Amino acid sequence: MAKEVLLAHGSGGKLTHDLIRNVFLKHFRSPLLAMRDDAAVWRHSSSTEVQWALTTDSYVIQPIFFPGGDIGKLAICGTVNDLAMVGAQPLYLTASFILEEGLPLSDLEQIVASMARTADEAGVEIITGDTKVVDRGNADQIFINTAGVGIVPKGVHISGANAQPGDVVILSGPIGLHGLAVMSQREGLRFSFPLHSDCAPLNSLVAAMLQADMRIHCLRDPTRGGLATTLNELAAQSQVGIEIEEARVPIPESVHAACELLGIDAFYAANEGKLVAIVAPEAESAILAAMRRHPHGRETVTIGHVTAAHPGKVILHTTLGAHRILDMLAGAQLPRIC
Amino acid sequence: MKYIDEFRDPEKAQRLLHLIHKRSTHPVRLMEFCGGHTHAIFKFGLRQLLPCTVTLLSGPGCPVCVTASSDLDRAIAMAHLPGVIVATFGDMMRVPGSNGTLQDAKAQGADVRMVYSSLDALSIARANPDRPLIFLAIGFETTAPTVAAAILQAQEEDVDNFFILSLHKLTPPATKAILDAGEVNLSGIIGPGHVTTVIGADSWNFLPNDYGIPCAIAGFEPLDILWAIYALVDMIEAHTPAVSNRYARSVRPEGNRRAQELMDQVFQIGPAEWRGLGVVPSSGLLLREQYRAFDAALHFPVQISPSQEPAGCRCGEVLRGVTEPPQCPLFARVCTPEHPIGPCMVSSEGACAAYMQYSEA
Amino acid sequence: MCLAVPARILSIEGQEAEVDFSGVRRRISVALTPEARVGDYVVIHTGFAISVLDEAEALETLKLFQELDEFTAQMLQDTDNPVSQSAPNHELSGK
Repeated sequence: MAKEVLLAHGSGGKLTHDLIRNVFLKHFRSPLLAMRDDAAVWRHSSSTEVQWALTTDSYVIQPIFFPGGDIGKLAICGTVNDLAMVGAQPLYLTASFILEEGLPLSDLEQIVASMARTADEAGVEIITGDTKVVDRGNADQIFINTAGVGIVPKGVHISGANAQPGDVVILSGPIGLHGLAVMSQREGLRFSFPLHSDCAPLNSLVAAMLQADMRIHCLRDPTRGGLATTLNELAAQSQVGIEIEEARVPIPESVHAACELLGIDAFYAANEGKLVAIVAPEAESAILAAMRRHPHGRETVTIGHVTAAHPGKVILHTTLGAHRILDMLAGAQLPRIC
Repeated sequence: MKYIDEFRDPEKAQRLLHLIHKRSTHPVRLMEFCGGHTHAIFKFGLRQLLPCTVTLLSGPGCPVCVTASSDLDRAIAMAHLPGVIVATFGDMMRVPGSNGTLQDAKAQGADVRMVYSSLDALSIARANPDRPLIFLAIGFETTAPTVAAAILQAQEEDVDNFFILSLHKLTPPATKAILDAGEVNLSGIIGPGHVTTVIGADSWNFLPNDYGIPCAIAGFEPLDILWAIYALVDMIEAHTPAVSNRYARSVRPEGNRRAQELMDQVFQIGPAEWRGLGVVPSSGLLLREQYRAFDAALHFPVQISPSQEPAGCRCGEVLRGVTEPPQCPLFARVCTPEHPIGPCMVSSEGACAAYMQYSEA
Repeated sequence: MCLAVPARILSIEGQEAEVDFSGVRRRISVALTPEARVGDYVVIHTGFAISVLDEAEALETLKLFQELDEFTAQMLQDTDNPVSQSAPNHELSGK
């Protein structure tokens, strides 16, 4: 283990998982936490069928405004989506802010207005919050934390550990948009990227999917660490193998081009408005149809299937007919020259 | 024509593979000199599509992997000097020196910034006139001219806080060093497409003429690489070693004269220490006398303790194509992508990282 | 060794050019390729064009892949003599 916290510990890949396992899970012993799903789900008392879901997330993105969104919109979507990924209908959110001395109030207002608009679109209320201000230089303009609570409908039981051999792997649309939209704004890289972040709330999409067919085993939004990291998390949690057809994974031409330019891999680029669903084979057609009718699922596609072979590993069938391991992201994905 | 997808057509790839399978009758050992080729070969899974008679070995062609540990220790020590900004390509951030990486130095408070181009490093220097900006100039003959151009621009605009640590290395001398060491018998070399875009296909004539082995210059798409492998297999089977330019859309026999002129104006050839090869005479680029004002090693002398390779690390042999990653005792056990020991595991161009990340299931 | 990608030149001012790469735009330097013109495809490495792509050469290579079979491959190999002993004519690629 490194002796200090590294930037790469925040990448969502293996180093992040090491930190969670070796520091947090060592001390926080709750079995609900140990499930390591996007949200914790529990039944208040054995008598009631009602299952509660709770999640929390912090947002420290730079730049705080990017094509297709801002840190405020992201703070709502991220938490709403984590609730949706356990099948919960999001009800209430908290919102707490750490502001750097000197942040223009006009920026703050623009961010808060954006949070309000996104909460309305997702049909949730922000019911409590907190604000702290730190000396200039002790925070990067603004940090936001949001927590969310929701109710999981009766009969819905979605978790990263539920995948079964024979299940189908569905992706709700093209990957890499958020990661590249943000990276294009980073100082030192300076390229103009024609597409916007895909940042969007997915709770209504998940509701439509559940209405079409309840046999959804896993749901996860591939944010930091990208599609490859999410698939590896699900394969490990469910102790199954996952096989993906590279040619079926939709990557927009501009994302593909920017990745070639920077020497990074679109399978590891962040998404903020996409989900991976692992569903029973019999439920595939109904769920695909429902997703494609929804504005955030127009380009939904089946990209692979679950197998009992090589549990914990994700195998990619390349466009040339070979197959290779699609590993989880190690540290952060840095542009390279060679 | 966008020059990428056309050269990834699966149907044409199958036809090239068919030709290779038919043409290859006895075992050949081909070294892909360039880390970019290593990466592409694994990413597209080419190894398992080739006949078993064709063995691919990766060579010392990843500028990060061949950076000597002592040079990295010097860069890290400079990063800790008060007020200094170190600019580097992303590749160098995670390479382990004797104790820690540039990423660790950044976490400990050093101002280390990642750039995509030497010109971006120059603009950081302009924006911070009162702070020295040291750019870690790694890379082969493809990157060296871009650094030379940045130095000439800095001189013209008299930016006096822009310095470079020249770690540039030349590819033909390293290839000679590997062949002369005679540790590995190579049947052919897959020539680096972008280095050769600068130095020209003629620069590799010494391979057929002096060593009797063929060289095929390859681009970086699957069809380019397969086409170069076919050319090598064919030349070996027909015993007609030559330099075959399979990347003719970018590579010319004489290369890029302008780039060569700039490189020669700013740099002179000198000895360089390669990780895994030791000091190779006339294989590095040093700043010429009139550009010493830009030499970070001169203006920022730092004390570094003698560097030692991590115990058991066999990156040196992997870089010389003598050992394949799985044969290294640390590979995938102690040395992993998230806790890399040697440079070949750190850089996504390195053979060990490519082996781990893309190894066949 | 050297990651470099092809892109099309949209405009040139002095030693700087704006290039397009499937919708992605960036300013680069053409200091190493003074012969580059608007509309050319160039190979870009670390913010510099390092060569102007020869479209005719690329089309010829692709055409070759198209009709590739045992015969054309063998024929090409014969005419693609070692660079040092250049054969009289090179109607196929591989100058």
